[in-house]
Formats: sequence, structure tokens, C-alpha cells
Amino acid sequence: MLRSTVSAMLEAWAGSARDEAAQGWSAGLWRLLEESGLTLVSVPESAGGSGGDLRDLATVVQACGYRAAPVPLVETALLAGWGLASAGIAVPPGPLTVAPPAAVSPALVPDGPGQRLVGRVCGVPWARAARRILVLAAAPGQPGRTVHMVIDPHDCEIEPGTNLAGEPRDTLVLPPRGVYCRPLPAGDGPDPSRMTLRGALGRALLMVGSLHRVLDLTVRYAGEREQFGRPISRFQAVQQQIAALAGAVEQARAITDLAVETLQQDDRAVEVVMAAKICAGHAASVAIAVGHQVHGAIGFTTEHELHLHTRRLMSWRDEDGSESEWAAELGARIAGAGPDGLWDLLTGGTSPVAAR
Amino acid sequence: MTTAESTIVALRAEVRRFLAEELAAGSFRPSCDSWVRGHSPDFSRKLGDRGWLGMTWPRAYGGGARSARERFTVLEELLAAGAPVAAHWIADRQTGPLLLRVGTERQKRTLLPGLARGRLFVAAGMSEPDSGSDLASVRTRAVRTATGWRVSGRKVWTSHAHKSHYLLALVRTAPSGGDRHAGLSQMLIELDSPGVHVRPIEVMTGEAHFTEVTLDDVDVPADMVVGAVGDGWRGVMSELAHERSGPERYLSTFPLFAELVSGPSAPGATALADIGSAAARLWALRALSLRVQDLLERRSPTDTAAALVKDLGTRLEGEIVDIARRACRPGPAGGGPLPTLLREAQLAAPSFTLRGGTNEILRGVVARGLGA
Repeated sequence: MLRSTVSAMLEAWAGSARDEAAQGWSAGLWRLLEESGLTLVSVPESAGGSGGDLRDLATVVQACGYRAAPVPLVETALLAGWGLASAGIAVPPGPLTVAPPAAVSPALVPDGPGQRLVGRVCGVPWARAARRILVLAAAPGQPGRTVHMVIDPHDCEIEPGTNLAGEPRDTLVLPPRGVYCRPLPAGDGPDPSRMTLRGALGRALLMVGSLHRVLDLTVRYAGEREQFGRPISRFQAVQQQIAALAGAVEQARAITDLAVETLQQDDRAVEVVMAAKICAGHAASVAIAVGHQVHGAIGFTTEHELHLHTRRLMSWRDEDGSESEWAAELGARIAGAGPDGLWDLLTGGTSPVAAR
Repeated sequence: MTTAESTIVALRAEVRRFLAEELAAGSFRPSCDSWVRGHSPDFSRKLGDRGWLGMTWPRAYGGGARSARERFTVLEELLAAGAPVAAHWIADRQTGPLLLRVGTERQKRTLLPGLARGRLFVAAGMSEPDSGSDLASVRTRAVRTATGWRVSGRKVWTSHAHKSHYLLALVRTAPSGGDRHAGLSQMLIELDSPGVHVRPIEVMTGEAHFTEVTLDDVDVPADMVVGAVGDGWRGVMSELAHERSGPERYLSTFPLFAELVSGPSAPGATALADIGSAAARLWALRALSLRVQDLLERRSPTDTAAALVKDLGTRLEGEIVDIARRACRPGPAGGGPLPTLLREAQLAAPSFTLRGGTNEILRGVVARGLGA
């Protein structure tokens, strides 16, 4: 039900405004999604969200990935909305975003009993479009303690930047006095490492949607395009490539679904999310290569839809941790997990952390 | 936790306890590719006695009437531990389910209990010299006699025929005419029948689990045909979905992988990234394989998904061997489980992408299944 509603909405938008995807931001699509309550799915109603669980949000995010929807859905619902709500802070309306935790820590300076964030924060997704920007940082000298800032972009200068796909990845130039940080209550609230992991999951979900679209486009094109008097899908060399693409896509989808299911049960499950981002990264590389090879020269042009996806996949595989970064981390955890650690992890069902 | 989930958790613990005891008693040494090379009638009998063969079959035929998920759990635990399961593998995976689908009541009553107790072993007689992935090209012929069929021909790449009781053979019972898939039938041939000659084929691992089976005017009773005469192709195809998507298609080298990550020497930084990458994909494949099992349960079409699991899984099995090889400097000299597992796995690896239909052919199945 949710899937078909979202898909229909995005398909109608894509039919009329595909060029917005190339520009990286669509205020109109945002309004459409927000009016339907889709931008805060999985954020509790008590905090200003529209309810639903992580599975519901995953459905919406994958649909957005499938249509290259240029809106900060992951940033708003999965990251900022979750972070604010779980810290007991009301979630404001409008597009929200978060600063990648890795980009933050160097700019924190002590100020009396607290800290201020000064200087520049790089690579903030959709900062120019956001109503509020959530910044989380580890409190210096206080292990396990997290501080946060809720920044109104109007109080800062924004230097626009983009990723390879033209999506806004802006630099936030903070006011000279900086922005004061407030400590978050200790406990189950957001912290930078959980935010990083949720970012990886969100990116993997978008990638799965986009990968699915590349597969669909490629299968369709191979069946339509004729060379040497027959559709190119009749050539074994092309079939081999399409099967490799389908395999990589299904692999990424299976583990990302599992990551959502697992995180739904256990908010602290981390390894399965790493695995999802690793597989999505692998699949992205296959999809970029095979998608373009099968589409021939037409897929390399901006008049064809393919580039909306392949350029996003190129960007997303490196954002929120590349497959090699996460693989090193996952490998280290496995090697440190004892004789049955690897098998326990793979078979641990809903609780891979507890299995270690 | 639901009842079904807690059943799985308890069963998994039970299998692990059993395996730990068997290991401690020295009844097996963990090995890679154990579902093909680990032939131990004793071990299979123990599994049968515990109700871990024919698990999903009805009780009336000696089965356990348990869920597909329970069976999956036992299989993957056995494979991950590198336990010797080759003796009963074909009977449990293919022959039993085939008999349940299309066998006669008499066949079910006389054969299934023996298969489920690990007392009767079956070898799969599909391929022939020159047939390869083109299974419909089989030339072994069966002609009618007064009491059944007389079979002549040659089967090859048949695992463990020299240690099994029956050969489940795909044979031509009528000329194909225009349709290559018509006129084929499956029949169970007793391997001690007059006219059956089994010759082991040594492979480069130094073992001889493959055999060549020559059928020289072998008389087969009419009631040993499995399924309708002429309908053998459909039976074979439905077996293949089970054959291609199970955990044996991504766990053949798991004992090596587990030893690599938990053995005495810590992997270096490069190896850790390789390990993380392979583990992520293995995890994904397990999720995909479980999904195919669910589809098989519901009798949904699975050819494409099963072929995907086989293609991805067998390539990953090979990649794990490479990861271990690169991480294992200064090479597989000396003792210890890791060098032994690595030697075994390296020599077996070239077969992973061949058996069960070559990956290239399967990729064609995938592409056509997607509508390309």
C-alpha cells in the first residue's frame, strides 16, 4: 500500500520534472511528499513526526532512490528527525539535515564550561535547502558524552558545493562567535557513531532503489536495441553482463532488507548495516560499468535517464563510508570475535551484536 | 522471539553440541567442500538416527515433518563445520523430494525410510560424456521389455556411485522428435544390478569421488521409473532449483574462512578488508538463499533467483580461497589446519563454477528470466 502510493507519486513527478533531478533539489516534490506525511515517516507522532516504523521509511527511501528524487528524505526522517526525537527535542517542519559527524570534531573549541563550534563544516547535504541543521559531536575530554547544535542556516554563510551527481553538499561557514553546543542527556539518545551508521543505512537504501532502476533500464534497453539484426539481449556477452548486474543488485537488496529488519529489532545492530553498505558499494561499481556498457553511447548523454543514477551511485558509494572503509572495520570486528565469531554473526538472526 | 524462532535457536544449539562432541571424539576432520568429498556412511547414519535427514518429509515415510527453515539450519551448521555429509547429500536434497512429488506410493514406502535413516544412498546420474551443461542431449537409452526397461549407456561425473545403492538416472525412453526435452524419463537403478560397471575417476585433488557408470543392458523393473514415463525433464528441472540455491553453494570454503579469521596468526590490514568484504557478501547470499527457500516452499518460480545464488555463491567461494591464499604468507608449508584447508580448497575450487550447471549457462538463465 505504502509502496504503491509512494511509487505512483514519484512516477507522476518524474514524468513532469525529471530535469529537477539533475539540478539536485526539487521544492515542489518536497512539498508533495511533506503534505502526504512521507518526509517524517518513522519519526514518532509525539515528536511531530508521522509515525510508522523503519520498514515503512525504508520503502519510501528505496522508492526515492528508484526515481532519483532530489530531496533530503534520509537526512530529514532517518537522521535529523530520529536524532531530535530521541533526544526529546521537537522536530520542526520542513527539510532538515545533519552534518556528517566526521566533518565536525576538528571545529569544536572549549568555551568556559561548554564548547562552541567554530569555523567551517564541509559536505553538509542540502544545507542550502534545510530549515534546520543538526550537528552532533563527541564532547572533547568527556568519553561517551555527545553534544549537539541545532543550527538555523540563516545564521550562517553557505558555500554551495555538489557531489558528482549535482546533489547539494554545501559548506557551512559558522558565524565568528560560533554556535554554542548543548550536551545531550546520556543514555539512548543520538551519538555520532550511531548517526554515522544510520547514514550508511540510509545511503544503502537509496542505492538499492537506484540499482534496481539501473537494472530495469538496462534489461529494457537490451531487449529493444537491435544490432546485427537482433536485440542485443540475444548476445551471450550481453547476457553475462546483465546477469552479473542482477546478481549484484539482488545481493545488495537482500542484505539491506536484513539490515532494516535487524535494526528494527535491535537499535544497536551495527555489523549488518556495514555489510549492507559494503554490498551496495560493490553493486554500484557493477551497475555503473554494466549499465553504461549495455546502453552504449546513448547512456552517456544527459538526455538519457541513466546518468541520474550512475552519477548518484558514484557519489553514494563513497559517502557515509566507502565499501573499503566499512570492510576494514567489519573485518577487524570479525577477526576479533573469537573462534565462532564469524558464523555466530552470520546466523545471529535479529541480534548480531548480542551474538558476539 | 516467536515459537518458530526459538525452535531454530534450540535446534542450532543442538547441532553445534553434536558437532563439538563428534569433533572431540575424532569422528571427522573439518574439510572444505565436505558435501562432495566428505563421504562417511557412519556419520550419515548418526544424522539419520537423530532425525536430521529427510527432515521435511512426512512422518508416514520416515521423515520428520519439520519446517524447511529447520532443515536449512541443520544443513548450514553441518557445512560450516565442514562435516562429512556427501554420502546422503543427493538422497536428502534431490531424490527424496522428487519421490515425494512424483513417486508411487510403493516407491515412497519402500525407499524414503531408508533414505531418511541414512542407510540408503543415491547417486545422481544426469550428465554423460559430451553432454555437459546441455543436459537434454543425454543418449543413454531405455527400451521396453516384458517386465520393465533395458538400459544402455554411459553416465559420467556421478559422485560416489561406487559407494551408493541406487543411481537416479536420466534416460531417453522415446525419440525426442522435435522437442529435445520430450521422451526423457528418470529411473532408479540398483547399482549392484548385472550390467552396471562403475569406474572411479581420479581428479586433481587426488581423490576419486567422481565415477563413470557404464550401463550395459541393465534390466530395470517398470516400477522403478520415477514420475510419468517421458516426463523426466520436468523432474530434473525442479530438482535443479533446490540444487542451485542451497547453502552448499556458498559455504564450500567456509571452514577455511573461519580458520583464517580465528586462527592463531592475526590477519594483516589488507586481509582484514578482504575478509570484511567477503563476509558482507556471504551474509547477503545467506539472506538471498533463505528467500529462495521460502519461494520453493510456496512453489513460486525460482529458476532465476536460484541461478543467481549459484553464480554469486560459487564465485565467492573461490574468492575466499584467494583471500586466504594471499593472507597466508609464507605459504601452505607446515602443519596446522589452515594450510591443510587451503591446499584442499585450492585444488577443489575450479569445480565450484562447473558443477550444477556452468555459471555461464546459468547467467543466460538469469538474463532470460529477467526478460532481456
